[in-house]
Amino acid sequence: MARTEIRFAGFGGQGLLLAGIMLGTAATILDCKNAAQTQSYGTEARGGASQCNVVIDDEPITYVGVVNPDIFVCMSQEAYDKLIADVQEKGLVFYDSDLVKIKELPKTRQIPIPATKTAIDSVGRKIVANMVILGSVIESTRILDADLMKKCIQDNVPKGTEEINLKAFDKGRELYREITGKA
Amino acid sequence: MLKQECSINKYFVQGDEAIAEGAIAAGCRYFAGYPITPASEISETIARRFPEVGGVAIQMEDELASIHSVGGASVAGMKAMTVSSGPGISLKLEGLGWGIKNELPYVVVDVQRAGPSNGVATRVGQGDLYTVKYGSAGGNNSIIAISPMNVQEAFDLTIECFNLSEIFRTPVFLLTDETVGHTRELLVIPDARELKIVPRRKPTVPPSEFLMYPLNTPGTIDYPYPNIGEGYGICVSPYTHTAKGYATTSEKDHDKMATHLVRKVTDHLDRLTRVQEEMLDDAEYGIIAYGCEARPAMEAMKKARAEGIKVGFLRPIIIWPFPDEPIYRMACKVKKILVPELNRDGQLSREVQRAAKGQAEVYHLGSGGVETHQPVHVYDELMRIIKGK
Repeated sequence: MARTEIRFAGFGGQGLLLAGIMLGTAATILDCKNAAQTQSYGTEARGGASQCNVVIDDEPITYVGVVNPDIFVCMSQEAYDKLIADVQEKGLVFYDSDLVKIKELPKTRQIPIPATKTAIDSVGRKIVANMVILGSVIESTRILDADLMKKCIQDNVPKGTEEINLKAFDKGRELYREITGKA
Repeated sequence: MLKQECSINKYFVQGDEAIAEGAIAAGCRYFAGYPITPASEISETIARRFPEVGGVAIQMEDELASIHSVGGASVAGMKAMTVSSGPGISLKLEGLGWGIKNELPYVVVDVQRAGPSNGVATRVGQGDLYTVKYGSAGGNNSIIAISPMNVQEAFDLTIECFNLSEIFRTPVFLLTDETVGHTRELLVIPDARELKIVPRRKPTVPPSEFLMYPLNTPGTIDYPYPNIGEGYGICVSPYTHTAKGYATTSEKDHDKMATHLVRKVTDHLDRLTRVQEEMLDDAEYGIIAYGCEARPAMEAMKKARAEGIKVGFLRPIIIWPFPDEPIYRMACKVKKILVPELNRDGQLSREVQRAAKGQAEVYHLGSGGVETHQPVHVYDELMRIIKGK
């Protein structure tokens, strides 16, 4: 695959950093690709603006930063308003439709994923909204194999939370198929 | 179907974690630190891992206590390390002079963030190049500093820091930055048998014949350092010492000590010159960068090369002592050199200018920090200086 830049953005505490780390870990440890993950956050532990950037490439990665993401995963209005302009014209945007109101962008595909609501409804924990939206991203883009991602989640999330994380991930894949009508 | 796992001993981790693992692999078993962003992940990893390898990790009351206790551990025969970032390094410098003067092998990690002062605590900067070299009061120093640009190097070069600290009997800096420290990439930890680890060298002569400091043969390296408790007289203090370690106020003795401290680095530049050179053979223009800035710089070089512009690249890996000779050689080949760096005062570019001795025009591309330069920033500036605008 060619260099692919993915940006996750929202609030601290939504688990976007973990989603990015899972993606990078699966790409490098399980799929033998190259990946780099960077992040930016404020001094607050929770609630401040949080951003996690991942680059995946078959070739070695020289520059690790994400400037114009191919894929933008957005879970707050503030992040959307601030960062939507950076997305590649033909990029893909996944947004939590209960948290973000989008603007019209004729050339950019913007996919509504009610990740937080789905997390609460399906496993009763909004903390796994990150896995819901990651499931949708993987189902849509196939940047990595879904089974690989699941193995990575199984191996790396805190012990005792594997089941709800995996369930949320699968729910996100399902959700994408429902929303886009791809059974 | 799952592909086979790419390998064992592979980890997708931060540069900071790689530094902690590098220290453990090098034999570091004493750690003292005080929490500071963006170096705290090193302390956290050490605190988690040291119980597994029999190390002692202490969160001290402050930065000063951290570095002094690391000095004490070194005298007691331990490989030891402390870590911080700019606002903490400025405090540690007091203890550093003690380490330099008493020729203590230990490692100090500086994960640079955007300064001055507390600056932007969670974001990158490159403002400590001179701090680590000249921060310790009184001059006459023998600092060595090494700078990694990625996670694998963070591991490999931390080991190198420990090795050089043993060979040269001096504190060695790992001068890294928030971007390298916080970026996650693949880390491969080789089998311990494949790693070159320099152990503490012990005296082979009886205590009565042993001189604590090789001041009669200035510039001597690979010199033993006995532990406290092995029967050798260990004299360490903040005062100028004689070869036996006793305090002295004589001008002659003081000059002997100062000469040795400086010459043990300057007499061995062959062992302390390490740079990465790319596409310099036919280069007409050059870029020099270190640490996190090396990566956008190399990307800019690739873009220029793709357009047929002959650009080469040089990166100091061991940054102190400064690689004057390779930079002079580069300056003799190219017309102009661009130096991107994350400070506005032009620290690296000033050193490059000095080393180039007027053989090439040197241009500073500064930024206060917070973000690294993007490849396009470096490329655009390069085009601007090439066109002479």
